[in-house]
Parts: sequence; C-alpha cells; structure tokens
Amino acid sequence: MPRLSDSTRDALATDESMQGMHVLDRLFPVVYEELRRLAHRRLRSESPGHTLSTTALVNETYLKLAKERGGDFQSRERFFALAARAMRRILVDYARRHHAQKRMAQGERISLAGLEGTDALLVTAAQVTERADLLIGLDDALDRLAEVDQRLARVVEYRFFTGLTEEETAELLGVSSRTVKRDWARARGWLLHELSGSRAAPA
Amino acid sequence: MNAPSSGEWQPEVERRLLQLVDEALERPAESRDVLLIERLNNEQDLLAKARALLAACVRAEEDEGPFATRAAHFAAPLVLADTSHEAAAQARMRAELWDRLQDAFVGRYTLERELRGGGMARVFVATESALERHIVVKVLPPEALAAMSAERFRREVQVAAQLQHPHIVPLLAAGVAGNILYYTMPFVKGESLRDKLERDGTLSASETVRILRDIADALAYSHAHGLVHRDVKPGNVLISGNHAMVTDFGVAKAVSEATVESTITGVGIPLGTPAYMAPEQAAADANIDARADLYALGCTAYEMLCGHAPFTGSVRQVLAQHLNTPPEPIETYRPDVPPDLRALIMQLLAKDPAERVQRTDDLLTILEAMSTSSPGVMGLDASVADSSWRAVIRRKQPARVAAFFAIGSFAVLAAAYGLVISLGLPWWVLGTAAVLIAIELPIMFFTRRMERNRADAGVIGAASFRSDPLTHWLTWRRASTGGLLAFAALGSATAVYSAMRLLGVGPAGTLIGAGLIHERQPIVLADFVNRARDTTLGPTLTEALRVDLSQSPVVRLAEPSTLSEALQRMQHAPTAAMSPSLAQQIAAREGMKAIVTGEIDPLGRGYVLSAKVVAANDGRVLRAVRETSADDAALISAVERLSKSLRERIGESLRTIRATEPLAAVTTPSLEALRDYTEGTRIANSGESVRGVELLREAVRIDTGFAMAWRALAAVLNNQDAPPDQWVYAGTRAFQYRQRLPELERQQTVGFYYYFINSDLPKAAAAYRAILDERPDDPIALNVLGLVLMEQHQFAAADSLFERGVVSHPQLDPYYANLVWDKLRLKQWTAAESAISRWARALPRDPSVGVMRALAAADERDFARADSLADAAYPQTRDDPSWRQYTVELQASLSEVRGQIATAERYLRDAMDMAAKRQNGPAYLRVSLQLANIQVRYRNTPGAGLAIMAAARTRFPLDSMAATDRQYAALAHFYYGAGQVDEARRLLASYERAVPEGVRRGDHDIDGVIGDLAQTAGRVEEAATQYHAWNNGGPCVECGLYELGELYDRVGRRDSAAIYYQRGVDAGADVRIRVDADHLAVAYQRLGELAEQRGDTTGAVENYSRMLDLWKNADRGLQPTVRAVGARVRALSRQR
Repeated sequence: MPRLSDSTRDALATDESMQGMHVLDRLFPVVYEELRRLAHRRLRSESPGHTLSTTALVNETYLKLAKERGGDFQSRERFFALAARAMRRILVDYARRHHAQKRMAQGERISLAGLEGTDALLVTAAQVTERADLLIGLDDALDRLAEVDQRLARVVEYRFFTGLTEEETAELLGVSSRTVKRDWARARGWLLHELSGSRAAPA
Repeated sequence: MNAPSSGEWQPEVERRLLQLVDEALERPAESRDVLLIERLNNEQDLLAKARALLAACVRAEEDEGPFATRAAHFAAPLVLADTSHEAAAQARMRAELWDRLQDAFVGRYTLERELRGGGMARVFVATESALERHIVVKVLPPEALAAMSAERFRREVQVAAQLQHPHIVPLLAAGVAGNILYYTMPFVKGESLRDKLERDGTLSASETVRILRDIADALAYSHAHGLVHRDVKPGNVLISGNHAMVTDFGVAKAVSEATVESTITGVGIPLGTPAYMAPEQAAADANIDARADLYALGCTAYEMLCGHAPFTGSVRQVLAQHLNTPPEPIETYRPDVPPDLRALIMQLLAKDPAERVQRTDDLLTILEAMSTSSPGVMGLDASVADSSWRAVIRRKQPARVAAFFAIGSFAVLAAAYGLVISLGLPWWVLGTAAVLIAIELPIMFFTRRMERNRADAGVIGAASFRSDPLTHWLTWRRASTGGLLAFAALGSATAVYSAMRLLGVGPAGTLIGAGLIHERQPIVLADFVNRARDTTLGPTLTEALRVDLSQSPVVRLAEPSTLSEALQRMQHAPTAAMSPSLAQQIAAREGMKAIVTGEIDPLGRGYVLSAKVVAANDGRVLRAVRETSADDAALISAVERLSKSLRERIGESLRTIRATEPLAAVTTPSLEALRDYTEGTRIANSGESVRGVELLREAVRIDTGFAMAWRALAAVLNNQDAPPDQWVYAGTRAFQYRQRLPELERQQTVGFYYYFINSDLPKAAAAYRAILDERPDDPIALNVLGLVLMEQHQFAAADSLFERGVVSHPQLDPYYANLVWDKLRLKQWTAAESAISRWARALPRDPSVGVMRALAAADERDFARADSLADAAYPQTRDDPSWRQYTVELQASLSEVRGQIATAERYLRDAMDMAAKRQNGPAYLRVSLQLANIQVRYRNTPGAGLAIMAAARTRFPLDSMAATDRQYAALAHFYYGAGQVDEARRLLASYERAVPEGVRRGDHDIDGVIGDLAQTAGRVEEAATQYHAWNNGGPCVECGLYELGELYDRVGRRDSAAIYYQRGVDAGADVRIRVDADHLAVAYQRLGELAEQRGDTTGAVENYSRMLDLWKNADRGLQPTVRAVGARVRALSRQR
C-alpha cells in the first residue's frame, strides 16, 4: 500500500474543516478528472439518458481509483466526500460554460426522452438557461451554507449532486437516516429561501 | 431588499436559525410557531426570517421545489446542450478539413480515415496512390501557415527524414496543400503509448524499462546525429508488437526553425508539450540540447509508472512546476518499482541538466543492463549482477552509497541489539557499535568522494591520481577492512568482559563467579537506613527493593517467616525493624553468607540511594552500588536501577535481569501508593487491621491497578473476617490486575481467587503447587493447598501439607487447627490429641487450644471429659470473645446431645448475648438457628422456633450481612424442617441472586436444601441424588447421611434407611458434636426400632441401650421417650 505523505494527511485532515471549494484535496484533481472523463465518455455515447446516473459514475470511479491507488483514499467515506464535491463542480462547470458560451440558439429544444425521473420531454433554451442560473446560484449558496453548517452542505452534495439515497448518505456521514432526512429538508429549505432573494447579494 | 440587518451575511445567525428550525421540525406542526415566538420574541426581524425559513424547510420536507430531483436530472439539459453543441461543431470542422485535404491530395493520396488526433495536429490514414502503401498524414493547424515559412519547414523535415533507425518512424515528406501544412510518415500498425496508457493506466516496471530502452536507443542514435527531438511524449511513441518507435522526429525543431514570427505560442503551435517540457525548454532557453529529451523521457517514464505526468494542472501551473517543484516521489504511487529504476527516472527529472544522465549512450547502457538483468521482476539483487551499469550508477548516484551504508548500519546495530538481548551483554556493546558507525560515516563519505574522483579519472582502485597521501591511501577496500577490524575489536572486548564476569575476576567479576555466595543462597535484606526527612521512605523503598530482588531467579531473600522466627529465637519481637546490625546478626546465626544494606541520603530535592552487599561473618563490603533520584517521583525507578545493578554484581545474567518486569509495573509507579501499601501491610501485620485496611484502600485509590495492594487488602480483609463482598471485590481486582504482580504473588492471587472467590479447585491447586515448587515452605501455599485437597477429599495429602507447615512454621496456628480438624474428620483421635499437644507446646498462650481439646473429646463422644475440658477452656478465652462464644456453643451442644435441652438453651441464650454484644450478625444468626432447631427437634414446637428466627432476623436482617455470611443453606434447611417450605424456597432463590456464581460453586450445603425441596415435591430419587452430592461435594464427610436415612425411612425403604442412619452415626466430622447434638439420640432410637422390626433383637437392644445411656440424664420433658425405649429394651431382653 502506498503511504500518504504527511502533508497529504494534513491536507486530508484540514479539508474536513474547510469550507466549500477553497482548499482542495491533493486528490481532488484526480477524482475530478476521472469522473469528468468517465462522465464525458458516457455522455458522448449514443443514449445518454440511460447512463446519466451520477451515482453509477461515482461508484464506477471509486472502483477504478480504489484499485489503482487504494491507499490514497484512507476510506470509502473520504473518497465519496471528494467525489461528491467533484460531481458538484463538474455539473456546475457545465452550467458556467453554458453561460459563457450560450450553447443553445433561441427556440432550440433539448429532448429529454428516455431520461428517467424527468417529466418534461422537451426543454426550451430559456428553461436550460434558467437551470444553469439556478445551479450557479446554488453553488454559491452552498458555499455559504457550508460556512453555516458543514454537514448540511455535505448532505446536499451527497443527496443532490451525487444522487445518493438517505441511507447511503447517513452511512457516509456516520449519522442516522432520520438525521439525514431532516438535514436534507433544512438544507433545501435554507437554500430555497436563500435563492428566493431574501438576501441582498454580498457587495 | 429586506432590512440591512437580515441582508448582512452572518453565519452565526443563520446557524442559530437552522438549529431553531431543527428543533421546530421535531415538534408537531401546530406548536412550531409557538416555539419560534418563544425563542425570538424580542427579535421581530429574525422571527419573520425564521418563519420564512421554516416554511421553506417544511416545503422541502414535502419534496417540493427545484432541487427535489437529483442534480444529474436537473442538469441533464445543460449537459446535453453542451455535448451536442460541441459534437456538432467538431463534426462540421472535421468534414470541412477532410474535404479540403482530399482535394489537395488528389492523385497522390487517398484519405481513408481519421485517427484520434493528438493536440493541435490532426492525423489521417491515407493510401499513397503510387506505392499502394498506407501512410499517415499529419496536418498542422491552418493558422500555422501564417506564422511559418512553408519552405523552411519542408527542408527541416527533409533533414529529419534522413534518420534511419529501427526505433524511429521516419518522416517521408512535408508539404503544403492549399493553406494546409502537412507531413507524412509510414503507417505503423500498433497504438501510441498514449492510447496504451489510457487503456491500461500504468505499466509494469519491466515493460517500462523495455519501452524506455527502445526510446533511449532511438534518442541515442538521433542525438549522435545532432538531432534533438524536442517533443518526446507518450503520444509520440508507437508501440508495435514488442517494440517502441519514436515518431515525429524533427517536427518540433522544424516548426521552431520555420517559424518566422517570434510569438509562435500565440498561434497555438506546440513547441514541445507542457507536461513533458524540460525546465530549460519551459524557460524558453534557446540552447536546449539532448538533455531536454532525456527530461521529457523521464516525464514519460514517470507517467508509465504512475499513471500521470509528474506535474498536472493548467499549462501555466505545469510550466511553473517544471521549473521549481520537485516531482512527487515515484514510490508514493508505485512502491513496487525497484529503487534503481526510480532513482534513474528521478535523475532524468533533475531540474539542472547537469544533474541528469549526461549522455544518452550512458542511459542506454543503464537501461540495457536493467532490462537484461532480469526480464521479470527486477530488484536490487538481480541488478547487482551487472557490474558495468553498477559502475555507472555508483558514479552518478550519491544516494546509493548512502543507502548501502544505511542498510549496513542498520544490520550491524540490529545484530548488536540481538546479541545484547539474547546473550545478555551489557548495553555499552550496542552503544560502542553505534559510535563506531558514527565514526565510519564521514570516512565512508570521504572515501566515496575519492572513489568517484578516481572513477571519473578512469582509475578504479588505488592508482594515484593526486599526491595527497591520505586520499591516495583511502579506498573502498581499506575503508571496509578498517570497519571490520573495528567491529572485531569490539567483539573481542565483549568476550573478555563476559569471561571476567563469569570467572569473578577484576571489577566486572560477580560475587557468584568469585564463589563468595552461591546461587539462590538466602541473604537478608536490611531496612534502608534513612537519613531523609520523610521517615516513611525507609520501609517503602526497602519494600520496593525487596520486590525487585525477589523477582531474581538468582538472588534469594530470606523469607519473612524465617526472619520472624529467628527474631523470636533471639528474643526480639517478630516484627522488629531490621537494622543492618540486626540483619548481620541474624545472617550470621542462621548461616547465611551475606546481607544487603541500603542507605537513603537527601541531596537537594532529590536523594542518593546506595546499597551494599556485606559479608555476614566479618562485615566486609563485597559490592557497593549507588543511584541518584532527582525527586520523589523518580525514587521507584532509582530503586529499580539500584536493584538491577546489585543483581548484576551478585551474578545474575543481564538477560534475566532485563527479562524481569519493571518494578513500577509489578508494584506501582506511584511512590505515594507504594508508601501507603508498605505502611498498611506493616500495620495490619502488627495487628491494627482497621488502620492497615484504610491505608491499603488509600493505596488502591491512588493507583487502581496496584495489584499487590489489592491482594494485601483482600488477604487482610479475609483474615479479619470482614464481610466477604469486601474481600471478594479486592481479590477480584487483584486477580484482574495479576499481570502487574511478580510471579509468586501472581500465583498466590490466582490461587486465592480460584479458591475463595471463583471456586475452581483444580486451578487453585495448580497455582499453589506452582508456588510450592518455587518455595517449598511457603506458609500460605502450604495451608491453602491443604484446604483445597481436603475439599477434594484427599485428606492424607492435605495432612502431609499441614505437617510440613507445622514443621517449617511452628509458630503459626492454622496448620495445627487444620491438622486437628482433619484428624477428627478421619476419627484419628490419638493423632488429633497429639497435634493439639504440639500446638499447646509451640503456642502456649493460644486461646483456642483448650477449646480444641474439648472439641476433640466431644467428637470422640467422651462427653463427660469434653464437659470438663470445656469448663477449663472457658477462662483461657478471656481475651478472645469469639473463641469464648465458641466455647459456650460447644457447651450447649454437649448438653443438647445428652437431652439436657433446657441447659443447652441457656448456653445458647448466653452465646446469643455475646454475639449481640459483638454486633456479630452472622454469629447471632448461627446460634439462633441452633436454638430454633432445638424447638423443632426436641420440643416439637415449630412455632417457637419460627419466632426465634423471626426475632433474630429482625435484629440482624440478612441484608445487613455479607451475602456469603447469611447461612442461606442452614436457614432454608431449618424452615423446611419447621414446615415452612415456601420460605425455604424463597431463601434458595435469594441465595442464587445474592451470591456470585463463582462462590456458589464452592458451596455444597445448598445441595442439601435442593434435596429437601425435591423431597417435599415427592421426587425421592432426585432428593437422594442431591443429598449424595452434598456428601461428596465439599470437605464435609458427614453431610446428607441422616437426611438420606430420614428420606428412605419416610418412603418405607427401611433397609436403606438403617444403612444411612448407621453411616451417619459412624461418620467422622470436624465438629461432629454439632451433628450428634441434632441427630445422635434419635438415630440410635430409630436404628433400634428398625432392627427390632427386622427381627434383629441384638442390634435393637444395642442401639436402644446406647440411646438410654446417652439420655440417661435427659430433661424431664424427654423422659417419656426414654421410658418407652427402656420398656422396649426390657421387653426384648425378656424375649431372649
């Protein structure tokens, strides 16, 4: 087993108390890169709808990275924390790129056929932009939430961005499912309230 | 927006609100708002906010809102938009370029397909029309042409096309087609190293070496032709079959040379690839040379092993790291890679070109050596085989010599350590070895420098290359010979030292070696002479020294019992303080060779401890040792050092000294606790057990794991008849911490535990036997092992142990008492009498001797003599109320057995008063039981008996006594006899609740109660089994016999009944008089009746007569029975 250098271990230890994405794990780029590569490859394949499951992506990434560099991730929990953050960044990056490049022409629609769990089959460009805005806003609000309560932010990363179930999240955070359920409600409540514009944007 | 106060970002406010919401969500919906108002009644703006937040959370709880679905679904349109846009744009470009290229190539090449492009260039496979062969066309980005001279580029490529080498994919041509700059090369079937890495992740060390070798081969060839590749990277290496080939040779240079504008990077044409770019290249140094290729090769190798290039991140970050940051060591990712290979790659990655391998040929040599030395797993050993590359490595790698030296030093130190431990050598051997190594370190480094200079000068060995005589002289061979000689000298010195020690010669000689004392010959430990202000230090440290010395297999201290007996012979108190002069007198008198004395002198806040071994006959100091202690806290370890030096001087091997447990581990690290322990045991032994117990409790309060103190506490409590739960607790603690005891004490603790606390006789016997193996006259082990054997009905073996105890320790009374009881049990009356006489001679003032004489006579059924002996014993017990009460109880039994019930009752009332005065509940209960039993048995008034017991249990409730003192079995048996079966059953249940299972296991009386209850339920066989178990289980040989007789009598099995009555009458017992008092007369009468019924007139008359004789002076109330029996005897005599 490769040994972690002391500085890495320190980084892993301190990252726990750090907020948002400001200080990243040395391993974050590795996880991010692997996830992004895998996600990208999946999305390039013919039927994105069937395979666009972040949970599956994260699990697959875990299997691959754990085999290659098992010792680096002190634990499965550690990995999932990184992966959840990476997944969040990947999705938010899509939103930011969308903003920067205005990928869709007015009137263009995206077909969501075959994508499980979605109600609308077609999404308009305006709706896509709205979602991008919401996602970017969420990312910022989540950074603030992490300042308020680190665990609530983690629950959002696991539940929303990684798509883990309440039970899986509870296991990774070492709390009860009931706590996760309540945290999830509180976190989403807070985020919705935050995004509803109750606060003036920080100067 | 809202009020500024709520708009400001205040995480603590948010946290508070979220916690409040958490609390609210726990409540039913209708009471949530009340909570918010309660908590925030003074903060209206916060209240509004909290309400809004709570509402949002409640909505969220009901799974409404935009983040209810997972992010993947939520963001899916974004992702799809992104990918579809990108894909469409690329497809458009691709199609466009394809068309343009095909147009330009018309007639020469036919495009077949596009390969996955690397970087900016796009790659196509085409067929060359003229030769019908596949070629690869690489196309530079259209923008390139604007910045370059196409003609210049073409010429540069032509130069590179001259290269002919098996590991180089040659360039064929370069050209311009329209506005597109391209070059061609043969199509090689295979895949790029980039593809391979994407697929496999990482490569094995051996495969890496093989590929590196091929690349190095190609590079060596091209470097020799003055051509630097400038863009070595996995994408430019093709793997074809087992070989690697380098492509794009000269392209980077051609691009560079052909570029007319200086800001070429601005147009995105690669001049090398950032991830593989040498620092000098990254710094845009114009004069880069072949060593830049070696750096890039190093990066490639790193990636093959680790799965990623040494540096990752943005281009700017990567370039900065190339310049400044050392790469993460390869072993971080791949510890399995042989150190040689890792070192080589790290050397290629040196920032300074001068620190890399300088010539590509050298690199090729090294890699060839590596790849041929071992085709599979490579390692240090395998690689040693090839000396040519070792020479190269040795010159180039200072780390290697350091590693060899480190391993060598470690091996030497480990060997020295092993020898010190296994052979018991002194520690200075290890220290000297370490010093020698420290001295050799600079010599090694100096030698290495000399050898390296020599090697660089092409001269290996001692041939002169400089005039300096020292450097001339210093070679590997001489340096290592010198080292070996130094260690040989150390070995010889060690051998001489050990020999002197064993022979007792010189300062290292031991007392045993010199023949001054013998191994395990007892020596006397005198108390420390204490000149410090703290007077308790003397005894405390003496105890510490005693414990440590007692751990020695060689040194043996005279036992406390030997000393106290010697003191008594010398007309001293047995607990007199052992001054050095007294110790010397005793040693001289008892024929011991030496004594150990110690002194404590204050020194500032600390102390100087010294100890001497002194010859007993002439007071000569044989050996002296001295230790200092900085303060109180260091005293125990100072004593330990003192003791260990003493043991060493006396002649114990260092190995066994080191093997003994640290003193603090077998006693306590706390001086305070040790002090309380020492003082506590001393006081308890001198008779003040209450104060002693207090101190011992204090000792275990300070150090709860202080097993020795727990053990002493258990022993003292047990000796003073304290409530059993107290000593059970202390004994269990001692057992629990038994690892913290020296061997003998540990065995004693184990034995005590298995005998008294958690009954397991074989284990207890094993522990005490282990003690006796070590110390054949250990007073405690002799006594308790005897008791254990008695319980196992091995009376003869038990007797021999008590005998040994009497012989070795004539001053200690338990052996006599146990011996007497045992003899009584075996009905060896004479032996019992003689044991009592010896007892009386040895301990004339012992208050129990007289009672024991009376008891022996009573057990022998010489009741008249017993009477007078008991009367005589009574005054002797003046100072001992418990023996006095016992005497009265004996007198009561003597009356009871002869039918003088009223007298017996008077005695018992007296005894009850005595017990009440002593506040001794268990004794009161015992006597009350006897009195109550009389009411049932002889007065036939069970109600009176029950009233007596009720009164007794009110006066001394069972709860006020220790569980093991509550006499559950006797009580239950009484209630059963008095017809109160339910109460008997209740008592049995309480017993099982109150008494721990381990203690119950050693208690067999309860089997009798279970038998009683089975009998009540009519389960005769079960009752019989239980009574038999009662008889066989414990030390009691008489138990259950009368009960069996009565059981069989009751169910009409008269023969069996007669047998068991007879056995009851014949059985011995330690206190047979108690059994006789309850049963004897009745048993005689019933035996007579049973004999009469079966027509055995002789037997009947015999038994009736015994009964008449026994009850001839019985109370008037019993006379009708006596008269009836007398009538039967007369009738039977007439018949005869």
